[in-house]
Amino acid sequence: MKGHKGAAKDDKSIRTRLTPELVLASAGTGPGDSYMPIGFSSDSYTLLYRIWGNHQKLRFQNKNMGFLEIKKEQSEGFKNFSISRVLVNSDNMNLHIAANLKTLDDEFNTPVHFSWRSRVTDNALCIRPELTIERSGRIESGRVIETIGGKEYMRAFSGCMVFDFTVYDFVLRGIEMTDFTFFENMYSFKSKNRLFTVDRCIPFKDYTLRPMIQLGNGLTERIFYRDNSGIPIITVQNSAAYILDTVAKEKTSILMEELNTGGVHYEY
Amino acid sequence: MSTKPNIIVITTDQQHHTAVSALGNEYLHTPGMDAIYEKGIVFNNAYSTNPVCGPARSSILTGRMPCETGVYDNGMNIRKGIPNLGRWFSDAGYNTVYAGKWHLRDNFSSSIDGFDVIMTGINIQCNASDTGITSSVEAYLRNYDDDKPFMLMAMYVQPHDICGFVNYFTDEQDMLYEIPENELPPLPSNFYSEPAEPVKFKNFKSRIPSTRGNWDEKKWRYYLWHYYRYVEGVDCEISRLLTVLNDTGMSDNTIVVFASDHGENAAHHRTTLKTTLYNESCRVPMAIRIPKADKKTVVSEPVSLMDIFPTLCDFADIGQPENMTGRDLMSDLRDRSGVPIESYGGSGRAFAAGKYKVVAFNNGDQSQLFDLENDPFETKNLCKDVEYSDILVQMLKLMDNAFSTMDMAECLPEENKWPSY
Repeated sequence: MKGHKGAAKDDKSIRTRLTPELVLASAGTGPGDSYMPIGFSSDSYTLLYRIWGNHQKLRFQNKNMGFLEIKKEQSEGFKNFSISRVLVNSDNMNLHIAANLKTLDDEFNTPVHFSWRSRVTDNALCIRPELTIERSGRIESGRVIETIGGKEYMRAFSGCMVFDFTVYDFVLRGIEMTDFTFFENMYSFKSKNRLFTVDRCIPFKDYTLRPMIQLGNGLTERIFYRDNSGIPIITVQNSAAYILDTVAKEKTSILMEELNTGGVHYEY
Repeated sequence: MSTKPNIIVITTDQQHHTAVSALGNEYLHTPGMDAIYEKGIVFNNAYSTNPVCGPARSSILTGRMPCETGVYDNGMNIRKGIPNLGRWFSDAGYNTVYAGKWHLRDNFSSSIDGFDVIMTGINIQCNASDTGITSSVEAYLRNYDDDKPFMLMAMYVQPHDICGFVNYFTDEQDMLYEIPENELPPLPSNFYSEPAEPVKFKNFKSRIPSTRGNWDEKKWRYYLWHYYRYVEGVDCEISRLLTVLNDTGMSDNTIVVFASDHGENAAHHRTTLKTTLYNESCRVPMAIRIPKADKKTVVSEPVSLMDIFPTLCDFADIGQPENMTGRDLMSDLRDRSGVPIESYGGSGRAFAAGKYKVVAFNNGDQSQLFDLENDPFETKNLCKDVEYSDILVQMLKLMDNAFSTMDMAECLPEENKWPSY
């Protein structure tokens, strides 16, 4: 059969574990470097990740497809989580989601207020207003009161609202999640979410990279590779990977080749 | 205000036909899909036209078999002169919108004939794109302010990423974490069944790390556990989309069609992925929710993905394009001889009619005949059983008749030459 691109032509096993040499090459840092991103502290931080797609053979598909910025700011009595994610397709259409979640500074990050905006830009870099939507809301008496397009909606509240990628905060703290939901699916609450610490460590000079896996109902596994200060420098979820920008500098392709979860795509 | 209904077509990718909790599957929870099934028309014997993404999608878009559209593999163009859903409904006065996976020619195209593309796959496909699809669709629906009806396609990617899982979870690696025994799905009853496997299928199995033989039973169950999590992931997106319909009141005038492009072998016959002509690969979950319906209706006759287009034409009362091979599912299906299936990757054709399914190969492999009523998991090939020789001949003739009346594309590969039966 001619031109059947999906056929598996080799059976080379992929997704080797991150090697020390690779981390060194990627990070461009030596012993003693703390890997601490600028602005990071235990109470507040800004983490910028590049998002990479790793479906199919990487030499064809390993393209930067977006950015993810996660911020946490601490103020008296409150925490403020914000996320900005841009996804870009190959025609340069992009989808920008910006979200903010204000919580009490308590053990459970009890949500107080949230806002969310989704915006699409076409491949001529023009914003499409009909594809822009904003939502904001608060939690009162166990209910979510949400305003969308000037209309107010009331929903059941699952008891915990943590939006996508604030999971990093849990990972950083090593807290076992009993409740977790995506911000983009805040009403699709899923129970049984768990964090698994993988026993294996990947040595790197004075550090180790410790994989931690988060999964649960409705969530596929998300593997966090944390350095010994606890910062997730790489996250792989299905066929997307998130690499801390300070680590990814110019070496992302190499990293992705090694971390790829779908490098040889067996379409059949 | 238009009296015609809005239409939303939701597809998942590589979803096993039983991977819906509304169907009694206790190993996953899919409230989104369940909401479509609970008071919808449920097709419990629905088939893909070809268990590969691109070809199957060409059938959804055109109402024809892949051998007619010319899309016999991923990344190919639909043959000229065949109208797609977007063009047909657009010309009929609908706003036609496309979001999500494409996988025909120009994989990432933001320009699809007949459609306003509000977001295509993000660098082909990944889980990130599914959330993006819903975000774009949500914005489009919440801002919708037009008297014209819309026909919107939300083409999700998951649980397709199980392909990646199969690749990296090779025999060299242990399970990364323990899942409690009672949460691991059981292996299917036909796990060890090999009913005169065709050579092509054996070759297929030998190429995939997971099926080369070194996974033990627990690892197979571990894979199934993960597969269901991928399904639940895309179900979150479907739930979110349905919430938007409810919020906006569009539920009262919007037909929701749900289907997968093809199935997933899901450990049946000790294999993974798709492209095979076993039912796990060919059959798909499929349901249609009609506004204000108050009860579930179950259709047991074999139906096909290519039936979606003509059925939507019926709902919209706009007439069908000429020479469609698909059938309007709202019509009387009793005169239909059966449903054809093809797989170029598997070098085979199949035909499901009544209680039987026949599979034939063009590479000299022995045919397969299954009694799906008594052997739903296709463990006993009746092809050489003299008691079934007449049925075999009859089924092969039905299949031959079905394919011979199709308007074959000229671009099909040379290997597409078939003997007559």
